[in-house]
Parts: sequence; structure tokens; C-alpha cells
Amino acid sequence: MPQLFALGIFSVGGGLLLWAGRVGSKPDTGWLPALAIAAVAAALLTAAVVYSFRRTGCRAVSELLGELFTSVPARCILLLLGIFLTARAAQTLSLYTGMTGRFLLPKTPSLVLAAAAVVTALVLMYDGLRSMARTAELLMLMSIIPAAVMLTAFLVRIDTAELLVLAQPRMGDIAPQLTPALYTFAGVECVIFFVGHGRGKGSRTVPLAVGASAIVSAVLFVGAVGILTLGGVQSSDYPFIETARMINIGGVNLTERFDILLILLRVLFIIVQTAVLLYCASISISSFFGREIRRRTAPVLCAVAVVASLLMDKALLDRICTVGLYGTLLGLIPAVFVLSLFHKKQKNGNEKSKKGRGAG
Amino acid sequence: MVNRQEYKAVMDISPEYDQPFFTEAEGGFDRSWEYCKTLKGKSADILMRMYTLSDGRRCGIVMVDGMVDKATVERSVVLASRRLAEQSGLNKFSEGDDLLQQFGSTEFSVQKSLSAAYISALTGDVMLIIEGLDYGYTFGYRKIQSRSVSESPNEGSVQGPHEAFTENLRTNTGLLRRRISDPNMVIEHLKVGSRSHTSVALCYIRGLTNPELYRAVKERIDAISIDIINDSGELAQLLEETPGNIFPQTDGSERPDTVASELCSGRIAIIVNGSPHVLLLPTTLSRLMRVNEDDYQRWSYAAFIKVLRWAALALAAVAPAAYVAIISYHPGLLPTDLLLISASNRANVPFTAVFEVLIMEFSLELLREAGIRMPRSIGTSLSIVGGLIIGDAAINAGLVSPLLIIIISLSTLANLTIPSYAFASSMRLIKYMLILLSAVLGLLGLTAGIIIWTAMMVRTRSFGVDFTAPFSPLWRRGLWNGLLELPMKYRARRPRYLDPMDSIRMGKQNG
Repeated sequence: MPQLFALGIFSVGGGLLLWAGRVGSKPDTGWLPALAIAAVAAALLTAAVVYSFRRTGCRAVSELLGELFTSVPARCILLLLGIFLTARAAQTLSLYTGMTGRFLLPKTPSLVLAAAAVVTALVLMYDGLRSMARTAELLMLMSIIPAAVMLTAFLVRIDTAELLVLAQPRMGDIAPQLTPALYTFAGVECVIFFVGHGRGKGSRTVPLAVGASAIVSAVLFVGAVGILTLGGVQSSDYPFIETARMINIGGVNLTERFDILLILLRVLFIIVQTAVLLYCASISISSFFGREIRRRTAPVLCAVAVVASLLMDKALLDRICTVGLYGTLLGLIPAVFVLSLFHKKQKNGNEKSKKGRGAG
Repeated sequence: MVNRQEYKAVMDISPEYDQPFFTEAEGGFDRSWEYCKTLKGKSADILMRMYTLSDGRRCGIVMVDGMVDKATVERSVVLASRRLAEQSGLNKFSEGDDLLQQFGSTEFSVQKSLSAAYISALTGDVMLIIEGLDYGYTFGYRKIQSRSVSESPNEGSVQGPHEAFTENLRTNTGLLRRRISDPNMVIEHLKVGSRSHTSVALCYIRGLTNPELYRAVKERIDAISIDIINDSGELAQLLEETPGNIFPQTDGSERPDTVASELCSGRIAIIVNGSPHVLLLPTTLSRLMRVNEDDYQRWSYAAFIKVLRWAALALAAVAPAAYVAIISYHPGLLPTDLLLISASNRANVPFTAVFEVLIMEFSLELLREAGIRMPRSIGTSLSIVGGLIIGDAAINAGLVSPLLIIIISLSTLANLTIPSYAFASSMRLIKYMLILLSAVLGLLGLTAGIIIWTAMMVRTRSFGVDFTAPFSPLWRRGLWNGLLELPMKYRARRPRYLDPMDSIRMGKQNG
């Protein structure tokens, strides 16, 4: 049965991913085996996704979710997704208020900082996803030169001897630092909304943006290790910013605070990321209610995210997001695809019974 | 005391602009003439003259004193009609060819509507009514005083043509025809304004301009319901999709070479009688930052100037806000030497940075407005006084710091380099928004302001075209030409976002 087959593939893939994590975290095991296992798992999961799409005939996850949202299980999944995305937005806001409150505006209350970010995010969300994506595209174009200056400054200051540690088979030391780096990906979870839009223009922009963000994060991580050493990165709360503070290009005397340039670039993309997360959350919550109430849910979710970012314990918020991330990747997404196979089967079943009645 | 009933009756007749010529059964010539007299009312500049032909029929001409060549009218209409009547009789007035030869005017038309003929006379034509006919004629013997073709006062250039449009529609269409001698260039005439009946010319190139764009523009113009249009600026506001948007959704130029180039790109031009500013639709950010002189210069220098212009755009909007943010919240961002200079300059200034900036910006806005409105005879003197007061005296009094004067001056100069006046005005408003946000949240507020500014630009559309094209949606080839200026041979294609019918402009024989 296709449903069992898909469930089986998803389970195997998820299990392989967890095994890859365990293998990588062992102190004496190199990172190559973990990477190989993770690659196999990713291939299996991708195959399962493609298989499910072909079975359902949908071209995008959003279309798939739209087909399913009338069913109670699917709507519950969407509600959980909405809650998780709101938690992610709260986590992002918490990171943002911590960073700006410490390095940029120490005397400004966190509430004001968070409110400024969500108000800007609301302006971004006002006209929908296409407008948001194009704004992000334009901001990325505008940031190319300052980002290139920043990255060049990083690379100039790197001590390549310190980078050798990254090539050594000690994944366990590096993995904890990679987890925060994962969260710098610009709303990687939101890519699932666009998976399958093969020919749509928007489908290129979001993965490109996420990919670009991933590359920049990787370069910043390498730069941080090369400048601060791995030990320095491990002991620092904001390793990227500490790294930027150490950069001073002599002879130019343009500024002694390169970290502010990095912070402003981060703030720019944090606000866009928050807007994307909250927009997708409002889509999910609206789908749960089965009505078009995005314009009403978005401000409410913004307020919830602000309150959560200020009042909730940071460690608890991180835990919720970690659980939510794995739950989404290994639980919700497979559940959606498996449900979609049932949905198509029911649709086929209903059509057959109608034909039977007609002939009778 | 004005009799309100009589006054209202007279005024109410004027808007009834659909009165055909009265037939003989309805009163004929006498009734038509009375109708014209009622419309004329007490207007002394509208001349109505009646004369008799040799066969006893009466003729009447209506014209506006100051808009026609009266000597030519006497010769070409009055005398010619008498001669024609003597030679031929009644029937000769029913066909056009002989009339053309006899009256010597290439601009004439047969009018079935009496009110339309009268309105045509008000725009400068000569109206002729002949007894016994249930139609009339209008002839074009205009002699309207207007400015001669001269250099544009608002769009100067070093290289390239210097002639500019005038307030006369015919002169302007002639200037355009001279540059595009393509039989496919269409100049369609429309009338806008229920009282002004302003002539508007819609120009496009058939087979090149997207028909959907043409349809959208024509529908919007037809839907306009207003009493008077004086300038293309008013028409532009009525055509815009979102009039509340801070960014202009139409562009314009006073130069025929610019309009001709944009027509060949696939845009539509609208010429309004009485306005030297020709509208260009649709518009984009890259179009607003472009001047035609970029095409006349060598690409290397043109590319340098274009980059300078983009930098000026950023400076115009961001410089004062960045000053406020850095001085108020992040002084450590400055190098030590500059920080010491700034601190010593501001030591005696009693105001906060934001108030200092707002005082200076307000003073400059006053100076700018006064510079436009003041009589030219005292212009120079007042400019010197204004500069002294704002610059020297303000610094000596300790109200502002010299560093701020430099920042504001640079920002103002940068704003003046923006080619489009409408867009430059939008940038001035954006500047104030950024200043206020920077005053509240420093560089964070400036960053948020830049995001909001970008979102506002993305939201803007001009006749279905995204304002931020070709940057977003990204069109790689157009991106390079938008940011820099590519050599001529790399600009073989028309802008993709205009969706022209013929996308290739170079490298083949185009129609």
C-alpha cells in the first residue's frame, strides 16, 4: 500500500538522521561517517517527498496543505506548525533584542527594541508574500557591497592555522556551535511552503535567499574560528560580533567599530526573517480556522512573539524551537505527505462510488 | 443684485454640449445663431459676425479674438464663401474637396453638432454656419501667441539637443514627429475636462507598444471626469493607481529627445495642451534616475556618473539621518580624530542633533520655496542673504555646528542630482521619515526606515509594471544597465518589464 510504503521510507530516513546525529556527536568518530549517513537519509526523505507529490498530483506543499486543510488532522498539524513558527519568531526576536540591547542601544528598553522590529515586520507583511520576497531580494542587492566589505575584512584577519581544527575528526566539539548557526538560516522552515513550485518565480527566490544566508553564515563561522579560535567561539555568546570587534583595518581610519556594520546587516535580515516566520505562522493559523484572517492573526502573533521573547526563559525557548524543528522535519512533514496519500485515496474512493450509483 | 433664476438658466445651458444643428423645421439658421448667442453671453472676446451671400443666404462665423488670424479669416472664409456661392450655388457646400481648395485651409471639418462646433471655435478654430444647411464647418486659422522653442529651464545638459517642448500642443507634436518619422507612430487626440476641453495627445508606436498598456491608459483617460486640466501634472495625478503613494507613478520630460527615446522603448507619451511637461508611462526607479545624456556620453564616463547618481540618492536620503544617529547614539563609530572635531564643533550648540538637523532642513526648504516664488529682480540679492543667514550667521550664533552645514549641503546637492523632480521630492519626504526614526532608535531606526522605504518602493506599481524593475523582479541584463551604463552595443534589447511587441532594437531592420 502506498501509504505504508511512504510511512516506511519516512521512518527509515528519520531514523538515519537521528543515527547520524549520534554518530557525529561521539568524540572519537570523524565527521565523514555522520555526513554519509545524513546524505543517505536526505536522499531517502527526498525520494519519499517526490513520491508523495506524484501520487497526490499537487505541485507545492502550500497547494497540498490547501487540499488537506478541510481534514481535522491536517488542520491540527497546521496549528502546531503555526505555534512552532511563532516560537521561532520569538526566539529570533530574543536573539535580536539581546544583540541590539548589548551592542547597539544599551539604554533602550527591550520592549521598545522588539516592538520596533515587529512593527517593521508588519509593514513588510502587509502586502503579502510576493512583496516580502521582493523586498528581501532588493535588500540583499543593497547589502552586497557592505557584506562583501565585511566578509573581506573577516578573511583578511583570519589566521589559517586556527582553521585546521575544523578539518579534524572532532565533530562533537563543533556541533554545539553549529546549532546556533542553523538558526541563522533565514527561515529555512519556510522553504517547505515553496517546495514543488518548480516553475514559479518565487520558488527560486526563497531557496536562493536561504542558500545565500547559509553560505554567509558558514563563512562567518569559519571566520570566527579563524580569528577567535575554536575555544574563543565556544566561550562567547556572540562570537560573530566579538570577531568583528577585533577587526581594525589600519591606515584607512574610517571606523573602529566594524561590529556595528555586522550588527546592522544582521538586524536587517533578522527583521525579514521574523516577518517571513510570522507570515507563515499566520497562514497556518488561518488555515486551522478555515478562513482568510491573515490580516487579523498577524498582529496578534506579533504581539505573542514579542511577549514570548521578553518573558520566556531563553533556554526554554531554545528547547521548544529545537524540538519543534526536529518535530517539523521528522514528524509534521512526513505526516502531511502520508495524510495526502489517504486524501487522494478517499477522493478516488468517492469518485468510484458515485460512478457506481450512476450506473445503477 | 443678480437674478439667480436667470443666472442659473444661462449657466445651466453651457454644459449641454450635445446640441445638433437645428433643421429648417426647428428654426434653422436663426435658432442656431440664437443658441450661439446664448452660449456667448457677455463674453467680449468671442466674435460673432453675420454676412450675406450673393444668393441671399446668411452665413455666420464665430471665433475668439486673440486666437485667430482675423485677416486670414476675412480673406479665406468670408470672401471665399461669397465667391463660392456666386460660382456654384447651394450644392457646393455639401462636399469637402472644393471647400478645401476654395478656403485654403488644410484643417477643416464638417460638424454635425452645433455645440461641438462652438467648443471647437473656443479652442481657436473658426466656426462657419450657412443658412439652409443642417451642418456647419470649422476651419483652423489659429494664431495663438505662445512661447517659442527654447532650452529647457529644468533639464539642462552639456551634450545633446537643447530644444524643449512648449505650451502649444501642435508645436510639441511637430517636435516629436521630427524625431520619429515612423508611419507607425500614432498621435491620438483626446479631450479632457468638461469645461476646459483640454486637448491631450496620446503618443505611441503601433506594433511596439504593448496593447494592454495602451488600453489601460486610454481607459483611465476616458474615465476622467473633471472640469479643467491645466497641466500634465494634474492629469498624472488622475491617472495614478494609488494617488496616496509617496512615489511618482508617472514620469515626464520637457525634452523631445527624451520622449522620443522612451517611445522607442515601448512607453506611452501624453502631451497636454498648455503644458510643456510631457508624461511618460509607465515609470520605474531606473527610469527616474536616468537622463538621456547618458546615451550621448561615452559609456565609461556615463557609467561613472550613473554610479555617482545612485550614491547621491543614498546620500540625499540617509546622510542627515545618519548624522543624527551617530551623534546621538553611536559616537564611538567615528574615528577618534573625527570624534574630537565633532565634539568641539558641537560644544556650544544648545540643541540636540535632531533639532539642529530639523532647523537646518526647514530653513533650506524655505529657501528653496522662496527661490522658486520670488521675483527674479531680487533673486540674486535674496540668495546671498539666505546663504549668509543660514550658513555664516547660524554658525557664529552657535545654533548649528559647521559639520552639520556640510552634511546638509551635501545632502541637498545630492538631492538636486536626482534627474526627476517628482522623485527628488519623494526622497525629501523619505529623508524626514529617516531622521525621525534615527532620532528615536539611532542606527536601528535608520535600518528599520530603510526596510520600510524599500517595502514602499516594492509596493508601488505603474500601469502594471513594478516600480523597482529591473532590480526586483530581477532582470540580470537590465540590472547592469540600470546600475551602470553599458556600452551601446550591449543594449540591443528593449526593457523586458515593458513587454514590448518587438523586443529587439538593434541588429535588425526594425519597422
